[in-house]
Formats: sequence, structure tokens, C-alpha cells
Amino acid sequence: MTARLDGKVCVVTGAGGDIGCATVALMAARGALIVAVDLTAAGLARAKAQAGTAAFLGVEADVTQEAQVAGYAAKAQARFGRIDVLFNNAGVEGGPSAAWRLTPEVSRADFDRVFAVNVTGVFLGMKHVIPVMVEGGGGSIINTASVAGIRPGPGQIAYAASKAAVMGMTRTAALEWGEKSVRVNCINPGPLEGRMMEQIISGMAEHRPGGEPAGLRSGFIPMGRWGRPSEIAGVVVFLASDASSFITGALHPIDGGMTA
Amino acid sequence: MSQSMSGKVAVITGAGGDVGGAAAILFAEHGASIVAVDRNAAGLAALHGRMPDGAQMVTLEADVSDEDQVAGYVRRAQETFGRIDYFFNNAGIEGSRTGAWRLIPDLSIEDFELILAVNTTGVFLGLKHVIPVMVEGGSGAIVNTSSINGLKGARGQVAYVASKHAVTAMTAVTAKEWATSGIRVNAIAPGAIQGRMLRDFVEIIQANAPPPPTNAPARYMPPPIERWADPREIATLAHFLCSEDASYINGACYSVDGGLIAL
Repeated sequence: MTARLDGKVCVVTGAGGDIGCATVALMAARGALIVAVDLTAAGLARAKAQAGTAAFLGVEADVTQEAQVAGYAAKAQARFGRIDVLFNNAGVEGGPSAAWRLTPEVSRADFDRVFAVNVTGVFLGMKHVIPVMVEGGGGSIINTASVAGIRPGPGQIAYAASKAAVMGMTRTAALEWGEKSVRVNCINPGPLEGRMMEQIISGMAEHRPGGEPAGLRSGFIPMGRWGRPSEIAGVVVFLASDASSFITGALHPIDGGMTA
Repeated sequence: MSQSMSGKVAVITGAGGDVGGAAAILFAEHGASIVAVDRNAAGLAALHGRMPDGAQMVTLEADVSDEDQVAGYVRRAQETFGRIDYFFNNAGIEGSRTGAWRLIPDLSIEDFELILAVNTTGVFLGLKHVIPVMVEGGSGAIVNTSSINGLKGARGQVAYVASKHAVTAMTAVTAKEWATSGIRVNAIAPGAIQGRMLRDFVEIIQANAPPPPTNAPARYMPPPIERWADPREIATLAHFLCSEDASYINGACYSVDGGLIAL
């Protein structure tokens, strides 16, 4: 059974990022109608370029602002009548000042910023989309966690804590909404080629004693390389589709064996 | 090898509560000087009368979600006793009357953020300010209070579960960061404990919750040990993990739940 999304309305947050763009492209190719949410117009333009001829609605929104989250859910419903899939994906590593820092050096402001996007943003997305899915008879939510939530590393207190929190919210939402046929899962990507790892590496170069660790680009990973965003998208589309109809409340490492 | 804490200094947050209070008494029984921190002055006052004879203790009122107050309790601990050997980073809340039990779509962002502020930011700030003192002293042991809900989900408790999962992760991060400085960091994952939090939570859930679903799973059942924990049974684990007997335990999250989430 190839995972198809024909006619499904799929909301993707962080749509302009590396994982978001790759997922928009694959969802569109598998028949989905796309609602792309991103913080910037430039991000939405990148997402739209991936969607080809698929029906597409772009919404500029900050996932940390409840009114804007309610807004993207309402706009999706107004345009397409329902929401079948939420890829609750927007997230930040914390920018150059927080991407890699020993705990005593992490400012309260940087800690709060990572939590606002990665934790509060994911909570608000579920809060406003779940009722729409329940009204429509069910749906599938995929939250973006990380391997950092399973094997938290040094220098990442805010990011690792935020991604563990996403795992907990995923499990809780699955327990609450299984009866209403809303499935909730998370993905746990390992290091990927793209913007975020470039930030983390420059953070390590600046703040980690010894700089970038030897073997970072391959040594930690049994498969000997980092992942590609398209390899995340494949799992997201599977979890969004009816091919995964009995999977809920589960973690999905996509990490080349890193957490084995 | 020893479980003695003679001559050592222990900072305990949430010391006005059931688990923190039991830990203050137990650590003092083993010889530690206690810095008892709580935002509730009455809870701290009540602790005085329960301490063993001759115990050394200072009590400090502080809100762990406020960075200045965290820096303040750390500074006072250093001024009073000169060092910090053990840190039981334990303060936590189940949430407000409206926030402790709510399905996700019904939970306000204010209630969500309140729980995260105490349980997660409070633990982060404690680590941030205590670790440098332990590095200066050459060693230390930290125990963060997570929960069985730091390892699994719980219906109606999205903020609490998120906050405690975050504690489990912060334990691993800091354990890896500071092991070479002689600091061990572990977490405990209690199940339901007899005391104030459980009483309030049961009252709130009875007021707020819809009837359990017809397919209510096993997690609504009592633990294999068919009773809730005594707070002292939680404190004994925190004491063990701080003690020299636990010298090779680092970055772990130990369940103390009567078998509730046994694999």
C-alpha cells in the first residue's frame, strides 16, 4: 500500500524550512491539498514552489501567538472545509546564541524563546486543530520532536527539554483523542543536511570546549551520514496517510540508527 | 561507600511540600545541613517542628520560576554554609484549579505556561545557578523530580506531562555536561504519593473531568503495590542518589511508583 493523501487537507507549519518544504512537495505529489503556515512570506514562497499544481493556501503566522494559530486553523477550514492532517513542525534550535551552550551560560530569554516555539507552538496547534478534526470525524497529527528528546546531548538544555516535552504532549494527545479517531504521533529526526545543523555547528565552534567534535558528520551514526529532508517527509506522509491507521502515541526515530 | 551526609550541605526546593519536607528530615537525619526553599512560608514554618534534634537548617522563601530569587537562594546557601554538595531540585505543581486537569482544547495558555514555569523553567534555573557552585567546590550530586508522567502520557495533563518529560531530558543533558567536573545529575520518577498534591488533584479531577472513557485502560488502575507512596519512600530514593553509594549513577531517571509503569 503506497501512502496516498488524495483529497486530504494537510496543514504544515514551518512550511518554509528544510523539512517543511520537502514534506509539502511529497504531500502534494501524493494528492494532498496544502495549507502552508510559516513565519515569513519568503518561507511561504519557498513552500509554494514545492507544491506544484496542488491546491495551496499560504498563511503567514507566528505559532507562539494563540490568535494567529486560531487564525490558520480557521483559514484552513474556511478554504477547504476540514483539516485531515496537521504536521505540527515549526521549531527552532534557538539561533546562534543558544544553539550550543553549557547550562549555566543559557539565558532565560533564549530558554523561553525555544520553549515558546517548540512547546507552546505545538500545544496551541493541537489545541485549535483537534476540535476541527473531531468535527470532521478524525485526523492525523504529526509533531516534530527530535533524537534530542530521546538521547539528550550536552549543550542543548533548552532544545532537548523542548523536544522531550513534544514527546510527552504527543503521548497525552493520543490518549485523549484516540476514541475520536484522531491519531497523534511524533517524528524524531537525527541530524539532517540543512539550515538547523549549520546553526548548531557554528554554535559548537563558538561555545563548545574543543569546538566541533570529531566525527560529528558521520561518526555518531551507524549509517555513516546525515539524513536528507526528503527522508523525513516519507515518514510524515506515511503517518499522515491511512496506511498508518492503527499507529498512535508513538515515537518515530529517523536517524540512521543513531538512537539504536 | 556510605549513605552518610555528615558535614555536607543540601539545598532542597519545594521543602514546604510533602516530598521535599520528608527529604529535608531524612537528609538531616544522615547529618546534612539543610537549605530549605519554598514559596510557601507556612509550609517552611511547619517543617521546623518536624526536624530531628540538632539539625542545621535555614529556610528561604523563594519562587523557583523567578531567576533573581533562584540566584538569591543559591547565594544565601553559600553565605550560610559555604558550599552546596547536594541539590534536590524538587519544587513542582500539578496546576491551578482550572489547569490541573483539562483536555487539550480546553486548557488556557495561562494555565499551560504556569505549569511549565514552575516545573520546567524552575528546574532549569536551579541547575543553571547551582552547577557553578558545585564546580567551584569540586563535586556535587543533583536529583531532579520528574514523574512517571515524565516517561509516559496522561489524559487531561498535557502541560504537566510536557513539563516532566522536559525534566527527564534536562537531567540527561546536564549529566553529560558536568560529569568530568565531579557532578552527578539524576532524576526520580514518582507515581502517586499520599499528600497535598494527590488530595487536591483528586478533588480537581472530580470537579472537572468527564467520566472515564468506556475503554479506560490499565493506567487508571492502582499500581501493583496496591497503595500510594508515603512521601518518605520518595525521599529515600533522592537520598540514595545523592549519597556516595550512588557514585556511578549519572543521567538516570529512576521510577519509584509501586510498579505502575513496569515494562
